[in-house]
Amino acid sequence: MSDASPAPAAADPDDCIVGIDLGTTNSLIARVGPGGPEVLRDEQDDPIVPSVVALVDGRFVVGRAARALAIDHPDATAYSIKRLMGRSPSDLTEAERRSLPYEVVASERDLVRLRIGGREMGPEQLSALILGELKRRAERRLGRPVTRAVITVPAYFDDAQRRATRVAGKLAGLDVVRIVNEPTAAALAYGLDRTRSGCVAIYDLGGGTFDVSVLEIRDGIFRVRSTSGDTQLGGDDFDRRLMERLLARLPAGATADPSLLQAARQAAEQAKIELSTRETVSYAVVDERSGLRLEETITRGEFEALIAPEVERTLACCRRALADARIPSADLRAVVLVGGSTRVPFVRRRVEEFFGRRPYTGVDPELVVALGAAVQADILRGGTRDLLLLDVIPLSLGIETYGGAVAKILMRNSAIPARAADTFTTHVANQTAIVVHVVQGERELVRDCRSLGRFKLAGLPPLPAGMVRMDVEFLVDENGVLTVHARERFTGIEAAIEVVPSYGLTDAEVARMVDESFRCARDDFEAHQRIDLENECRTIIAATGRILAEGAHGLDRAALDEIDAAVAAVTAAFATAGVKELKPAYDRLVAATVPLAGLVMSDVARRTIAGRTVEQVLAEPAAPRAGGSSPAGAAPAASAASRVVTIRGRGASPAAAADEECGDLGGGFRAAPAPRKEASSMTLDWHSAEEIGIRLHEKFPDVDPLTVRFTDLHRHVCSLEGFQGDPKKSNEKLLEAIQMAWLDEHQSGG
Amino acid sequence: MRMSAETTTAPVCRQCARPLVNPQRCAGCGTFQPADPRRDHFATLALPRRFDVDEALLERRLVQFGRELHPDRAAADGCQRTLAVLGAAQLNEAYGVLKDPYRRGEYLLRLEGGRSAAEDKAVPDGFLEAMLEEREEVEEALAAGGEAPAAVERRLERKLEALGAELSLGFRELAGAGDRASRLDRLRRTLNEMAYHRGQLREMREAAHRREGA
Repeated sequence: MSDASPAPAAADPDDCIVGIDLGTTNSLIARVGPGGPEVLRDEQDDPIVPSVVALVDGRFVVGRAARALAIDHPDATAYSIKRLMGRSPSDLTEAERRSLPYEVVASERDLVRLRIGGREMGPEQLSALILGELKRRAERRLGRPVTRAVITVPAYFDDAQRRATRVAGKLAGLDVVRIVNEPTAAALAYGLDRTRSGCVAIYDLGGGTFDVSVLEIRDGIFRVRSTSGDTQLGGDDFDRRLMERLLARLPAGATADPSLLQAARQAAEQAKIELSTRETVSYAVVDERSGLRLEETITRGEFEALIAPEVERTLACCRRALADARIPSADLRAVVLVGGSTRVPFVRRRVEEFFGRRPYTGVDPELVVALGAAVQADILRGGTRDLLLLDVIPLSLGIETYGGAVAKILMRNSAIPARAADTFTTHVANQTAIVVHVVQGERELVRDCRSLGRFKLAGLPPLPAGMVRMDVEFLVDENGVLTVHARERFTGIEAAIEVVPSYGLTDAEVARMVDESFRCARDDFEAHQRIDLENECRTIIAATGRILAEGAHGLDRAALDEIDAAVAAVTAAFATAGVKELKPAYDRLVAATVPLAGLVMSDVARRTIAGRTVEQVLAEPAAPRAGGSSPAGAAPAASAASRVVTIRGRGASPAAAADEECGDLGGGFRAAPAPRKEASSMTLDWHSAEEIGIRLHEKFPDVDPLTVRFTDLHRHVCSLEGFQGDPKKSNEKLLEAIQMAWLDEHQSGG
Repeated sequence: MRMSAETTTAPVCRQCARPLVNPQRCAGCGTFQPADPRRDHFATLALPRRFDVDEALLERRLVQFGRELHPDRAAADGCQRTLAVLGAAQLNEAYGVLKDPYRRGEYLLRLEGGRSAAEDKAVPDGFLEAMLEEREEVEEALAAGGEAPAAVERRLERKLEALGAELSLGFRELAGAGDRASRLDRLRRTLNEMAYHRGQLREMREAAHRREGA
């Protein structure tokens, strides 16, 4: 192929990926058809599905019909669901709670649930109903199943909010192939005329969220320079201000019931819309219970004063985005308005004053995000070839350090894919494990940031504080999947996790995880405890056996008998299932072996710390010693599970010090490195790549693997003694693997 | 051993032997090139290794190479995608360093064998007094509000620009005859000073944002 950037495959016309704008107020679905991007409308030519769900008589109603039911069934209708995605009840402000006519309750894991129509449901489940409605609309329109989608989210959504959006897609039967930021999607739709290059600012004020992004467009590449925003700021807040003004007319002591709240909200929204074209508007509601009529008249000027604080907050975000992008507003080519709330004249005027230019409103601000999502879907499908999106991470990523502070590793607005690394050390002597706690956010303290996950780098040898050198590397891929990798330089001990389940795992796995964490939290905990206990017991028994065999322990007969009895009790307890039975036996064993702890410690420390990796130490046969060695003389090889046993704070016990010894007592052997294969059995596959690399190094010590050409590499591989197979038919990636193995050998061998 | 950009031989594709512009992927045959520990950030963007960077060229290279390496364009096949992700991450990292004069200076000083900020915290003569004055100025501006913080911000930016020019000169002199070690130390001091002003600037912007956001 002569194309420098080979595409996945020729686009299959039947293989459609839809683009979905899942909004706070309204949702839309679009695709790229033969005539370009288009929003899919219903039979009445309506492009919009209001993001409202009602549960009436045990039946779910979505969209306009649900909206119509809202006043009569306020407690059975959910709207502004997006505001609750991925949040905890404790995140909600008092004002937010007050303005919601439905009840918000906490789930077991402190996630928001809504009580509507007598049922408790998560925002993901309710959003899934809206997505399902959109999916059915698209299927009716296109006459075929729709299973894959790009869904947009506010650029400033944090990880939990993105995860919730993915889960909603999964629940609706959609494979979410990408989550795209709304302003970026909008830029893709606007930028279809891309003959001109330059920077644009996208000002996106929706029903419940605000985003601003600065993008550079050049040669069909859309590069996000910076993004900022507020996920809890939108047109809903304008409605709320108007509603509060109306409800302030209630007699002292009277409170609004859900039905009145709902009616007041709709009256407020209507008044807001009318204020866009009229100077003075009256709006009113009637309280059904008391027959009381509440009425309010407001001028446009009063309304503008009412919403000015919110609008100023959006402009503060714009200032930050421009500063982060290092672009003065005079250098922008255009300012683009997105989102229904940008219809408010005051918003337009303030944006114009701030940026010093008239904003561009050429495409319907309500449709543009869905159209852009469809364009990105088409890029991923391989249909649109001349556009490309280079996005950024909206929030900084870092890890927790001593005292609950955050060390940022990847700064916000870093282009993705992104990679960065930093080095950390320990603060406590003899710390045998380091917990890596990954967090997201701009704040300095962990408690103010969002926690993404934790993992443990365990099995470190006891060292003085500050001696450990842990390199932590963050890698974020094009989907925003964060992988964190930690490695201790001294010992070579490594650990890694894919931190962001929303992106890194399939939706099925996310759903299963969510489900499991509810049901199995307790069982998991006990099972884990038991495994840990059993491993610790095996470790102690192994270490004790070796020390006793050496003879120089100085214990009396009674003490030795007690150790024997304790070992027998533990071994018997292994046969039973629970932690309950094992724990007393374990305690007895620990007590009986306490006099040996010091001996084990010094022995292990001597063997481990000599600048070698634990793996190297483990791979060696036990050092010969007087009086025999460990049972059967097997080469000690620790199982992976056994090393997890070492927990912070146990550094002085025989278990922690000697956990490397347990392999020979069974319970998950890890095979020692396989002996080198005979030459005659060598063929070309992934398993032999390393082997071939080593041979190449032996045979061609003077050829540099970094500069060797693939054609020469082919020849060299073929010339190896005993080689079978045809490298010419092989994947070039395989050759690369051989080359890398060769390089490793080259460097380690000098 | 130090290598100047001029003596580095142009890399060629491991697959088709054509000269490479983007060192990470051949524009001719699309082959991803193996990772090379000797490839620095300058090489990643096919720029000469020196402090003075042609910004327009830097931008063009980012866009051109980014297009070639972007995972959305790579085959769905697992290892092609992995290589694309790693390649694009490396490209983005290199761009982030070279775009910013301070980070570029730190990086180049390390390549040239200079000491890190952790090893040498020295600052230019008279800097400490100036620093105290600046601190006061920043605090006053933040307290005063209005146009004052913006004016201080601009002053800090100009200061950083001037120090950037100093770095540029310092790195050019490095190639000439004379005491290399003391020149490296002088660059170290300039960078330490820059680090301080950058911190001040960031603090001011964060404070301004917090105030507006509240």
